[in-house]
Amino acid sequence: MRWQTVVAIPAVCLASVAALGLSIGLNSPTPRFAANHSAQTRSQTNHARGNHPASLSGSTVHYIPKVNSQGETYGSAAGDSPTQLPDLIEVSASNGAIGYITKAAFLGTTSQSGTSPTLQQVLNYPKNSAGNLAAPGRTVAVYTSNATTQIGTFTIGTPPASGSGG
Amino acid sequence: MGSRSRKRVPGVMSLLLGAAGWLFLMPGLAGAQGIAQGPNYHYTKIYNYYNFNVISTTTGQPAQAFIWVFKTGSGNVPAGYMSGLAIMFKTHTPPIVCRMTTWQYNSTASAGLAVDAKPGCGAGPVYFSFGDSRAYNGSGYTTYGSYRSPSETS
Repeated sequence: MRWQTVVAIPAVCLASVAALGLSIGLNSPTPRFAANHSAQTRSQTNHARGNHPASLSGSTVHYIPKVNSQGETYGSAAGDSPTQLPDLIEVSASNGAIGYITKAAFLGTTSQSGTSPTLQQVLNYPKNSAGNLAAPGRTVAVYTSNATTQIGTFTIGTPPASGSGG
Repeated sequence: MGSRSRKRVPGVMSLLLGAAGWLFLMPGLAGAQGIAQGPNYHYTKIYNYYNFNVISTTTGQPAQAFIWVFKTGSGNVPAGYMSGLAIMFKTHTPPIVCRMTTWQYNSTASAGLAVDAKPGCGAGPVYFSFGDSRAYNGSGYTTYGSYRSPSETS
């Protein structure tokens, strides 16, 4: 009798802790700028997919990308999962046009996908007007959804000093 | 290697006090402010942090989107240890990126960092903020997601 109580109480506590941990893990948002996008350890929840978020209170939000004639996906970067990032991401160009930038341009990746700087590199970044150390800005091309026709540009961060500022 | 220390995360009161303090400290924050429904706590081997998104709007003015990163507990983290990347979305179907920053890092020892995507994308539409944060883990940076802010009309 007594030993059952002694065993049952810790078991209930352990189960509660495990359930809490599972719950926190499932609700934790995933970064879109992770170094390795294929290394997603958190299983995706099975919310109904659609162009409208199912909920804004921390649950996973999906946006179904469309597919262009080249087989590339295009759509919003506002999904909660990096695996949801389409090949072409919808932006508002500097000239007001709505178009798309490539995923590589959005993530700031070049040949080495998703690499982050070293601490020493970060400490050498210039300070911006807010007093933060800021990675260099860049201006990227904005395309139509077929990714062949450029319709404008989009500036990420503060653009380099050369040329016209923005 | 060092053991992973799980420091005590701040309670709701300290979070609210911290958020309120930053609201007062941030210049130009007047009018409607939407703060993300929940902070996202993340843990490194060295320090523990939480982040959340804020959208700030004033009628007739461009919106401002922030991601805030805070260290939990007392004390500061060294320069370059915490980072944020703010993205402002225009509410649309589906949402459109209208402004985003590059990664920004704390330049001095600090307990908090605010990264601001500005100027906004014009007054009128509805916006929300949805960025990511990074923390130095001893050998590089680990990136963490966040909860998007509510939508606010500018």
